[in-house]
Amino acid sequence: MREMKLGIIGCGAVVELIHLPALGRVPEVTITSLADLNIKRARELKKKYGLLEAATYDSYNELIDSSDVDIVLIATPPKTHALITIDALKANKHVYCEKSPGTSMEDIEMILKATQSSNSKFMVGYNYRFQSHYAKIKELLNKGFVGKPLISDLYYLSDVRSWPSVSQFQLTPGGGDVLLDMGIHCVDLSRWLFGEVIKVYANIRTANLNVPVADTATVVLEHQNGAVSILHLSWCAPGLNSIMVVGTKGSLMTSLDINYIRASKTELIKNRWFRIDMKEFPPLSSYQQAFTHFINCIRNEKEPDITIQDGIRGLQIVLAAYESSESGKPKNV
Amino acid sequence: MSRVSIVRCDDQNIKGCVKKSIDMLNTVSFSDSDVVVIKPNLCDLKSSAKGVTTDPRIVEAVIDYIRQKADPVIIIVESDHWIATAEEEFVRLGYRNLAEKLDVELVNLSKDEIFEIELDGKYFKTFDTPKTLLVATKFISIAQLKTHTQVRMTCIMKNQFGLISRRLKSKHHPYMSEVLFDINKLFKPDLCVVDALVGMEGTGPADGLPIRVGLIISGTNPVATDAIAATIMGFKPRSIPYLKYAEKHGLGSISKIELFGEPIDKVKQKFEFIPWFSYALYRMSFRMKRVGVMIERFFDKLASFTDITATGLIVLRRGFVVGPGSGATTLSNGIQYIKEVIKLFFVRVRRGWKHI
Repeated sequence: MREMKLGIIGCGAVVELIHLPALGRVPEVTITSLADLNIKRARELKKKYGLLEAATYDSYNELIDSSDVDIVLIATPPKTHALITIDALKANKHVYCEKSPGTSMEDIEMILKATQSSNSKFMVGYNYRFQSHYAKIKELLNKGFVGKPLISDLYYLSDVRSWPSVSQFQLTPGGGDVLLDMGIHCVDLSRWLFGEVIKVYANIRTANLNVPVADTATVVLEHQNGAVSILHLSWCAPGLNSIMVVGTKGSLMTSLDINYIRASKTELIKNRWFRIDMKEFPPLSSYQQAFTHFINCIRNEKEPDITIQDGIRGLQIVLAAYESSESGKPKNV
Repeated sequence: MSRVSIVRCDDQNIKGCVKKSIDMLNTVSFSDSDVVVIKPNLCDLKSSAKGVTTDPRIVEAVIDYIRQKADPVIIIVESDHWIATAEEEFVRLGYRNLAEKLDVELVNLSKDEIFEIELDGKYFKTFDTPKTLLVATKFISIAQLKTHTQVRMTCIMKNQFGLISRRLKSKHHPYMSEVLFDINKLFKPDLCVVDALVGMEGTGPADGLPIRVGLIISGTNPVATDAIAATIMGFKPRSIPYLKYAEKHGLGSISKIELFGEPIDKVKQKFEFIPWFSYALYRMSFRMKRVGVMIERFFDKLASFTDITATGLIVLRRGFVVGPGSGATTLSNGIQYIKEVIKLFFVRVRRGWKHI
């Protein structure tokens, strides 16, 4: 089977530090093009990762028009995602779009129309679903390990000052903030693990950094099945990705810096934490796994597990969280 | 204060002796909703008459005692050993027949569902625990009274070594004191009963000679019960390494014991033991193994440090490296890491190492 040709739009830190290393372990694709407004960045990454045959562009339109591109990876700031996605789909390219696929419902609706009138595949980069710890939690929940889920706590903490962003788009109004740029992963994870969200309550604020966007957020999600997820998001703490789930029959907790899941079961009289080993999982990046899934869907003409509908719901919940934080009241969604 | 009772016993009235011995403690109760797990010592295929394994008649007497009080679920457990599987031991040592006769369950812990319990103990960071032990509401240890060439004696505390589910357990031997402390803390018996009808002296726990003792010893604390058992054998309790360790770390007392039944001076014996130089060499071999493991761990850490340094030098030269899972490591990651390490170092210097 022939290798698929990939073009990358946006050559920022996430592409340099995450996407390109991950794509190095997706042998089904060849990176044929890189585009960035700053062409020097595209050339720098081409050289750094030894992409000898890759073309470099300072305009995404040129990349999309190239016949040497089958798939487009969009890794630009979120407010540009909708426009580039629509153009790429119109040019019959498959699109893997970093979260969030847009910053407004208008963006999303335009993408929805574009996906409906295109035969190309589209997937939102909610790669955390492919992270082995969360995948194992999902497997255990599906097997009924915790019984009926009651509470979940998701922590996504990082120190944004240590992220070597080139454009610093996260720290400018409209470019994203701790919720839209990062916490949206947790919103998607909560929906994926515990089902649809019906109500949101949030407290979103700038608490620590001298920046014009929110750096701290607490978001409470009420799920249709009665479970409640609490998302703790901060840009001012050492990196931590963790989850705790409490259900009627047991509990689960893990964080990405340990290679096991901590679990408990109420049926055990000595109800202590025990460990479920994660060593059987390969230590591959969730980005690599997400991209491999997308390639397999293209090859087998299947719909990706993450669709535009997931993008729509993710953004609806985030926008409802902003409204809730503003009004101080819960918001149905 | 822990309670221990000593009752003289002959083959004719085992049930009466066991009942008397437990009643003297006056602290053990059972209810219909209990799940009672009983652990005899079935470490070999040699019978109780040879002084090696727990006499099934004593186990029967304990079950009889429980059933006089209540009607809980009763499970007899043992794990596979180097010599034989638990099933073979159950069948050939009379426990299969006993279980059928009394309608109790037999569980091979080595084949049970295993949970890796977080322990953070003296030796075990986690302990692979059979499910049966986790659903138990009462735990009863019924041990044999024997010498042990490597740790001087084996009785209640050492009986719990058989709760380790894996068949080959000898790798834990050099750390016996820490291992027994951890297991006995996690599964502290609610009732300890020592089968001292026939004990073993000399080269125990399997190759020694039987010695007629004619006692049932019961207790509510494994350290206290073993301390009395050691005294009866003629050993000073603090000469038993794991008893001394367990007392030091608060698992029980060797000296503060409320004793019931026979006065200890009247039942004391003098168990033969192996020559002192053999025992000293066994202890030395344990120390050597522990030192060997320490050296191996040191070099493991040194090798890891060297490996990281090599990678760091590549990052310095090339600007980045790509690992399998977490993306690229760059110079800025490294500088961030070094800053964190330096910060932590100064915090420790300022506040003192112990308080971090």
